[in-house]
Amino acid sequence: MPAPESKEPKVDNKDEKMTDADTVQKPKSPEEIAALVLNDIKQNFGFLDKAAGNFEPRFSMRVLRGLGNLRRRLTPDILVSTVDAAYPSPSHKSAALILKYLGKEGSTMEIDESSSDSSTPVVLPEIDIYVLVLLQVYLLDQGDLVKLNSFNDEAITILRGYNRRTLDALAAKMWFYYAYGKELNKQVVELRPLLLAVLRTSTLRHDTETRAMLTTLLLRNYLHTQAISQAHQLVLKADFPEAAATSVVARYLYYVGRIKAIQLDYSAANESLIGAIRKAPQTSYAAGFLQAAHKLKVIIELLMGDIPERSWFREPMYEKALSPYMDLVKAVRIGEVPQFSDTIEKYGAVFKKDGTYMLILRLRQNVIKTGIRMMSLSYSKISLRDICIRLHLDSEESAEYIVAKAIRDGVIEATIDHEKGFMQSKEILDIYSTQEPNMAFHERIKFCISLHNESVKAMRYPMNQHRVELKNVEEAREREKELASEIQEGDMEDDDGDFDGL
Amino acid sequence: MPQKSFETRARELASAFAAKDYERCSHLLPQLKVTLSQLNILVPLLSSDLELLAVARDILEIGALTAIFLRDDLLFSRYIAQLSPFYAMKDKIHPPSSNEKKLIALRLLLLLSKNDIAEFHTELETLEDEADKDVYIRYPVMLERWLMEGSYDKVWKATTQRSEVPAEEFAIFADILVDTIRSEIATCSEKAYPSLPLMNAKHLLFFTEDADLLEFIDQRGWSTKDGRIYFPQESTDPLESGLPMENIIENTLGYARELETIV
Repeated sequence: MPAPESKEPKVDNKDEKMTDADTVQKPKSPEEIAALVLNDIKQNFGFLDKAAGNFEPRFSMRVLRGLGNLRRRLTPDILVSTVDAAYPSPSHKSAALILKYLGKEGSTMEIDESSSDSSTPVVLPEIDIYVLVLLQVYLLDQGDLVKLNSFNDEAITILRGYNRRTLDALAAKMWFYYAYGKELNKQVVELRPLLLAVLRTSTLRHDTETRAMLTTLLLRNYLHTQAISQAHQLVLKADFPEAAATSVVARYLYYVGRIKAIQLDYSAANESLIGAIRKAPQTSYAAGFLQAAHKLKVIIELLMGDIPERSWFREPMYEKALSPYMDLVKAVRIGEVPQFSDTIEKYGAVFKKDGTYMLILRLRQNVIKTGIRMMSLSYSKISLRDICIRLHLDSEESAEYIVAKAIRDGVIEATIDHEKGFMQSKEILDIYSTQEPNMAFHERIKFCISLHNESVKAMRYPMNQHRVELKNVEEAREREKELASEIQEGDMEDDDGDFDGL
Repeated sequence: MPQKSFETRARELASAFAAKDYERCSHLLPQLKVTLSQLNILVPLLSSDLELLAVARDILEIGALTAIFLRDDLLFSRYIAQLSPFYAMKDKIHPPSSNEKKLIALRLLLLLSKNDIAEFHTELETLEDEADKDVYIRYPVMLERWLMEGSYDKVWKATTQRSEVPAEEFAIFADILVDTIRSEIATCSEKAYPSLPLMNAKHLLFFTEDADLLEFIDQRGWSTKDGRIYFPQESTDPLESGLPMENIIENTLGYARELETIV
């Protein structure tokens, strides 16, 4: 099961240029830093306001992207001041909840005696949920799992009370941390009925973000407990909304790739993984996810019979993580079974932690096939006994059977002469006279076309822009009309003045 | 009281199974399952009575084993499906089942004999490490590995020699597996050998009687001459088999259509 580094793949710091520039300079005192963070949070409130008002999901996304940066700078004091800023009075349900979990019940607040429920201004739900998410993240970072769990339960109850489309992206985030908290507390199986119920509700409400996130969470849940057939059924039956945020789509594709790999559908798994790697952000924030995805991709390529490129293993981001896999690739390429078994022994624990151990065991036959292939290419004629010795097989009989199967599978082109006990390779055909080039071209053309189509679909235009244009056009027309009428009037007046200039 | 007759019937079932009277077992089982569902332990929930769950599980296991002996695949699969929630809760039910590993191994073997390799691997994933440690489960795992590699002689030895088979139930699958191996070897031989003397063919295909061999040859449609078998050759000349016109035309039209959409 991939380790938890895959949780925050979507942080793009380019938007928060102001915060970066501020904190990079001279070291500041804690109060100043706290004030800066508080400013950021208040700015985010402004964004959320706009998002709710104009129904533009862009602002919520922007706020969420800043979450990764913020969480590193959160302290209990900042959170208390946030609660102060967000909620009109600490007796508000969420405010009380947060303060309770921060352990600062009723401390720094001036309790507004005169306020009653009917006169308190209503807190924007987006801001409410955003602050709750901030606390979730804070508790998670503190490593306080039990507190996180109970807080999550109550926070989710608050979330489910709302039913607003603009809340979509934030709700998805909250569900993510909820499920993650439960997973860390080993309450995985109990989570399933709840997730399924919420998936149903969000599908009915056309909540794309929540749907996508929940589907992904369910898949992760099933894979965690090795319930592969159930995961497969979910993939078949539940439509995944392609319009969701790319990070969620990337995660979804990764899980789908894993399921397909287990079910021996290697080419489909490969496609999914390529999609996942492409959609994930290529920055170092997504390192965990990209590493896990690359590991799986290496294994699948080996299982399909291709050798993955060496250039990947050299990249600094992947070098350490992928080094056991590099040894594995070497063993498979050479085609010697004892070396392969040794590599598995040596790195067994690492592979089991990555969840790729069972897949790697399947590679054994690939090793043998590669060995036979090399024999057949290098020797035009070789006795079965020699094959048996070189490939470290058990007996000549097995060697004969194995070679026969390899020929049947199309790995090599050869014939066996049973009486004289040798294998003879056939001559290599001129490959251009077969269908091979045609098919290779077809694959590549298909890929390019699908890439083009996907890019076209992914282009986003800011909403209402065309209306602005229309408005501009209208205004321009009106101005022209005015001008025209002015000229007309002006003409009549100027007529007399013209003769003066003579 | 349904409780009392339930216990006596359960005991009856156990004794009938021990005496290998499978017909009687299959008689008693449906009634017992009805009683189980009345007592709400047919499907284990967190709210069910834990002691009775152990009894229920044992009954279902006996049912599964009976199905094997009666060679009823569907019935066996159904029992296994009913048993899987019990195994999922295995840390809560005491005492742990001694038959669990055996039944899981039997299920794997069934999938293998039907050549359902995808399901096989899916089930295997849930087992993780135990494959190497448990003698029952090791059996189908090794078989699958050898089949994939192509060392059919090892498979042959494992299925036919009594010393290798871990329990008598596995021997029942031996026939199906031998058939599978034979057809695999036959297909491989067709491609690999230009021709083969009959003696060697008999040896390769693990036949003991000439008559069996000749019957098999007729079945596969090979021709014999002078004591050698000749396999039908495929024409490898690409021009002779003709260009796949339809395919090329279809592809090219597809490209044209897509290109048109590029503005």
